[in-house]
Amino acid sequence: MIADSILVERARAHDELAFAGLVERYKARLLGYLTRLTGCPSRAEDLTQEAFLRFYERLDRYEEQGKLGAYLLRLATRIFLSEERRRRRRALLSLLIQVETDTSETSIIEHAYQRQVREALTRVPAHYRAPLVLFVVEGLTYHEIAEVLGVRPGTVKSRIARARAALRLHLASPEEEQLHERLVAR
Amino acid sequence: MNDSWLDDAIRNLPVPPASRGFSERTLARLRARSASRRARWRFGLLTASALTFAGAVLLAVWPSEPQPSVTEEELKGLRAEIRSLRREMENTAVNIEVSHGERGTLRVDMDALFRAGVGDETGAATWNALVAVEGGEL
Repeated sequence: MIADSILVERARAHDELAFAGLVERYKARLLGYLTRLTGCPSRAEDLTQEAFLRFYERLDRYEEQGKLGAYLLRLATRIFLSEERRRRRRALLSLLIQVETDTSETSIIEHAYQRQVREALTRVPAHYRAPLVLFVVEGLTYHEIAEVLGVRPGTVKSRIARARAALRLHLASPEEEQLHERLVAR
Repeated sequence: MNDSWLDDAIRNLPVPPASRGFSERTLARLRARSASRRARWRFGLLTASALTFAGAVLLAVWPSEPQPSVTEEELKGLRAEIRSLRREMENTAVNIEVSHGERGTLRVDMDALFRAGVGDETGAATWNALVAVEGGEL
């Protein structure tokens, strides 16, 4: 496998194939991360492309340290957070106070419980949601997440705790859910 | 409280594979964006050049000092006066110094004119105005 550093070097020399190689290598990770954050595959795909385009524009400034994945996650998070702010402003302007979960657009085959999880996750404030997903799914440490978000590790820890607390408010555990179903069936 | 079920729930969320042609579309967007940036850059360059050129032209044609505004009627009168003065000068046979100034205007030694009995204060004013209007044509 060609090293990231070589592909980055070629992409800097306007080698489109090398850039496409980097996209192929990291698209699934970014898409997975952004799908969990947004709850909407089509929006996630759009943001993923935007993250790659932003990366291409900053190729000259990127310093290869073997952490391209983390760098792309940082870009994707910033793009997501700024887009989330824009959406919120638009929603406020048009008096659409309801939470947008984009359930109509999703093309994922999911169980009822997974749908509840996805919807509950989108109700967690974005700046709590991002560190939670980075920690739980991407497996980043508090320090790495702090670098991605540009905050202190202590802040990351407290945001993750708040994200979990917010999620618990909207979501029952699978056991509670099963118990509820059994009670309803009787 | 153990939150492992929460973490598992998030991890187990299904994620779709990137749709077909994802990389191709990314490259297409990249090209479109580069083309748009180049176009904007060219437009900026063109605008800057046009503005520079317009500025240079404006500086070239901008009057360095206010031009006298004399009507056709006044000019006609002034010409008549100068013709009359010329005739007087020819009759006096006095050598009048006439020299070209920096802007090509004629500078006339008015003292010589007065000494010769040609012109007066009014005449001097007439000369100055005419010289300013007609420049080197005198």
